Formats: sequence, C-alpha cells, structure tokens
Amino acid sequence: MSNPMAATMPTRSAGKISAPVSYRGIAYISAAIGLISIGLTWLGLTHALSFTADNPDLSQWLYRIAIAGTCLSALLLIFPVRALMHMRQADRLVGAGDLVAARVPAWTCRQQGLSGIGYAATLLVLVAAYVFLTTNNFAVQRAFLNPEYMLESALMVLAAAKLNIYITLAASVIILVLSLALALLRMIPGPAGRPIRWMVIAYVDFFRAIPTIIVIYLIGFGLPLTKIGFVSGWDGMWYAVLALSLSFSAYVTELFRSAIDSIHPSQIAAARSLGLTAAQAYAYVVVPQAFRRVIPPLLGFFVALQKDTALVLILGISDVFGQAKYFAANFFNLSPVSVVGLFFFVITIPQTRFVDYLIERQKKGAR
Amino acid sequence: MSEAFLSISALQKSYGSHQVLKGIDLQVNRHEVVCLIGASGSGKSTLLRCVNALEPIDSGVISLDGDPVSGIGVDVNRLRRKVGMVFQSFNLFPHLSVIQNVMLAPMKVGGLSREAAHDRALKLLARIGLSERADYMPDQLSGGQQQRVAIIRCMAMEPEVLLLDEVTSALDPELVGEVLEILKDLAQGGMTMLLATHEMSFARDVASSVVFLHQGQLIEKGSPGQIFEAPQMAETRKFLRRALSG
Ligand SMILES: Nc1ncnc2c1ncn2[C@@H]1O[C@H](COP(=O)(O)OP(=O)(O)O)[C@@H](O)[C@H]1O
Ligand SMILES: [Mg+2]
Repeated sequence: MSNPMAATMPTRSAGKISAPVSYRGIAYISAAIGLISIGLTWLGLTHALSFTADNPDLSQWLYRIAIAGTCLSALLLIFPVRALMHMRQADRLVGAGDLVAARVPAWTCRQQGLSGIGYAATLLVLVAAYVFLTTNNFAVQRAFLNPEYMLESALMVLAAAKLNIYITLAASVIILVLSLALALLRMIPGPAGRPIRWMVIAYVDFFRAIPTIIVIYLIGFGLPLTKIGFVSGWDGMWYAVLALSLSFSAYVTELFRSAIDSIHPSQIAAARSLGLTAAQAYAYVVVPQAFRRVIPPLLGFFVALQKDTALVLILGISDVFGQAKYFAANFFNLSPVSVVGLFFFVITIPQTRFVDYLIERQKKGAR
Repeated sequence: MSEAFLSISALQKSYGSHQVLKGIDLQVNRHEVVCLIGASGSGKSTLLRCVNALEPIDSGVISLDGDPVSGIGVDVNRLRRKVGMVFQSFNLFPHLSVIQNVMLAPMKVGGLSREAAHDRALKLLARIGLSERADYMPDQLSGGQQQRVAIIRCMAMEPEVLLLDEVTSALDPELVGEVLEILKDLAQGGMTMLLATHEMSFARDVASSVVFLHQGQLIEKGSPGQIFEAPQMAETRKFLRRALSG
C-alpha cells in the first residue's frame, strides 16, 4: 500500500529526535500586541479629556487615571518579555543540537506569549468600556450612573426591596411543597395513575409555555375582577406570589421528576428484590439520592425567582423596581434603576457562586 | 413431579418480538446449588429476573414450595422476601453506609427494631470480615467488598433461595476469589442457590447440577461431572471449549 503521508512524516528511526513545539512566532506576535495595547490604552484613556476642557479639576483626575492605566498596561509587557527570554534560551539549545532540552523553554515561551495575548485582549475590552462610558461628554455615565441621583434614591429603593424578599420567601415555600407533590403524583404507576399523570403533565406544559410576566398579569388583574370572595380582594403582593409559584412550580416539578428519573433502574431493582414495596423503594432509595442531585439546580431556580420578582411591577406594586422607576421618571434619568441592578447583582452573585461550588463539589464526588 | 422447591415449567419470555426464553423447564431442590452457564445473551439474567418477578413472564409457571408465584395478581413483595437476588453490578445504595444498606430491608420489610437489625447486620458483616467497615460508604470499598456486602444484605432477609447473576463478572480478577469464598460458605451451609456464572471451576467444585442455556433454550442439564467431562450436545461442547480455553 502506498502512503502519501509517508514522505512528509518524520521517520521515527533511532537517533532522530523531533523538534520542540514552534514558539518563535508567538513570542513576536505577543510582543507586538503588547506594544500596540499600550498605545491603544493611552489613546482610549485620554479620549475623555477632550470633553473636560472647561473643568480643570476633573481633567486633572482623568489625566491621572490615563497615566496610571497606561503604566498598568505596560506591566503586561512582562509576558512577552519572558517569552522572548525563553525564546533565546530555546534558540541557544536548538543551536547546540540539544532538541530535548529545548522543549521546556520553547513550551514556556509559548505559554508566556499566549498569556500576554490573553491579558492584552482583556485590557482592551476594559478600555473600550471606559471609552463607551465617557464618550460624547460622559453621556452614558450621566444617563445610567449619576452618583447624585443614585444616592438620592437609594434609600427608598432599597427599602422597597423588602417586598421582593417577602415575595421570594413566600413563593419559595409554596414552590417546594407544590412541586414535590406534583412530581410524586407524576410518578404514580399503573393505569390507575394515568389520568393523574396526564393532569400533572398538562399543568407543567401549560405553565412552562406561558411567559411568567403574562401569568402575573392575568392573575394579578384577572382574579380581582372575578369578584369571587375566595380569590379577589387580596393584597397585590399575594397575587404576585401565586403567579410566580404557579409558573416556577412547573419548572421545579420537571426538575424533581428528571432527578428521580436519573436514578438508575438497577437501584429500584435492588430495593424491590429485597422486598421493599414500590413506595418504600422511592421513599428510602430513590428520592434521597435524587434530592442530592437536585439541590444545585434548585438553588439556581431560586436565584431566577428572586430576579423575576422584579416583574411584579406590572401590577403597579411598589417593589424595588417600581420604586426605582418612579424616581427615574422624576429625575428623567435611569440611575435609580441602576441601583436596582446593583442590588440584584450584589445579592445574586454570592448565591450563584455557591451553586457553582456545590456543582463542583458534586462532580468531585465528595460527600 | 413438582416435588422440587423451586420449579420452573414451560417459561416463555419475549422483549417485543424478540423471544428471549423459549420454554424453560428447571427444578431446584432445597439445598441444591444450580449453576446456569451459557454465552452472553443466552437468557441467564432474564431467567433469574423472571424468577424474582422483576420481569413479567409471557407464559409458563414458576412455583416456590408448591405455590405458583408467577403471573398476574401474585404478591410480589411476599415472594421477594423468600427469594434473594444479587446482581452483577452490586447495586448497593450509595447514599447509605454499609451497615445501613444491610439494615434497611430487615427494618422496613421485616419489621425488625433498629437494634435487632443492627445486631443482625453486625453478625453478618463479621462473617465476611468487614465489621470495621460498617460505617464506610459503599464507594469507599473495593468491588469485592461491595459485592460481599450485597450478598449479606440479601442474607439479612433470611431468604429461602438465593439468585445470583454473574456476581463476579464486574470484579478485577484478584477480587473474584473472596466473593466465591462467601458463596462456597453459603452452599456448605445448605443455602439453596440458582446462579448464573462464568466461573467454570467454581461450578465444577460447588454445583449440585449445571444447566447449559443456549439462545433461550435449556439444552443440557447434569451433574458437573457429566457436563464438564462428557457433554452430550454439540452446542455445549462448543461453548465449553471456548469457555475453558479462554
Ligand atoms: N430489557 C430488555 N429489553 C430488550 N431486550 C433485552 C432486555 N434485557 C435483555 N434483553 C435481551 O435478551 C437477551 C438475553 O439477555 P440476558 O438475559 O441478559 O442474557 P445473559 O444474561 O445470558 O447474557 C439478549 O439478547 C438481550 O439483548
Ligand atoms: Mg447477564
């Protein structure tokens, strides 16, 4: 058989040692990108100065920022410099014919060069964001991040967040209970359970299909209109709780069900073969195992729930977002709404980090 | 004729259009150890799962101590208290410690108190030399240890028959011996066993009789001496030639 590759492939005969990974190009590219980045950083950071000619104080500050930022960007040259040093070392070793020894500096050269490119790219994104904030005489910063307006509205806006926290807590409890009940109903075996299973499936499909905001709108404005004593005349917050619970329970039911489904059938077979009834097998073997798997995604849903409480403002409720919108309309400026954004950012980030940590820990299989 | 303790007659079982068991007749007397041998896919696992009602059967009768236990309307939970089953893949409950694995069924099914179940579990663990591992989690044990725990988890329910489905097939070769040792112990103690196995030397040493399954049919049955030294059927000879040379 003829092999077209044979001619170009290095032969693996004794005494023939393959060269180290290619490294020189990356070192040079990294150095070039590093130098260009410094220039672009200086240009980007000094761009804001063109709008502050009439404000020497501010100009002074922005100038300092520009100098500090550019110095910082120059620090990143450490990567290409290291790359070039290792490149020289590798060159020397290759020249001396020691290809094996050259592999380590060649590899290090590549890694340092690539790191330089990665950091430079990140720096340029940050500089671009700064330019965006300050361009057109600080238009973006003024519209979204005006410290005066933010401070003035912050107290009232954050006080209104109490309502979002109440809604989250009330809805969480209802969602947990309702979803577990529905998931178990969904698992009732046999022909007798079929209509019940269908009912749960219909519920899940229905509420997963409809946007949460529509559910909130329909329930919040619709139920009071019915004038049925039992469901009208509630406080607005409770319509929000009901709507969010119905909507989220559909997702969480499905989550519970898929977790229960993910337990291998051999676990049920083992339990049943020991004489446990189907219900006992679920209670002692399947559900406890499923529950562990479900905790991280469940927490993820509760983070989503917290954020979606901001939707209740369509009911005219003064939650954190409603309050901020009121201020924003008065100031004719969006900075109060940015306060809401910051609020959610600050409460959400630790939770999502915690969820990630749990997922990571579960992957490692630690108990 | 149905004097046998476990009696299987004319058992048929299909998955969809694929007939896996084509009319099996098999008797197991009390204190007998019957080994099922046969190529992979010949229906050994399916046969064992049918006996334990983990799979519904299409036709035929399985009876235990003269009581028909197959078909619709049988109290499967009652049946399974008399029939223990051990699986190729151990199937210990990963969220329970070793001793909790052994205690679960005696407490929830057997109605034993926690103390009584604990005592029984400790005695059984001592028998397999794993008393010190009582509070370990299953994944902290070797495969051989896990399978030994799975066997005594079954024994804790004091079954009258033990079904074992290739219980050493998932083990590293050096761990097979310790599991077979337990099975030999049980056999010498008079335990009635029906087991699918690829361990021919174990079958030769321990079995009361050996049954050869081929494509869902029981082709040949006899004492280990008959089957291993003088097999009558061509398929049996062919299978044994492969099995014993490999
Ligand atoms: N759950 C199932 N669904 C469909 N076919 C199956 C199932 N279990 C086993 N089979 C088929 O039945 C045949 C016998 O399988 P099995 O009893 O596992 O054989 P053995 O244990 O002797 O290897 C095989 O052809 C297998 O593919
Ligand atoms: Mg099998």
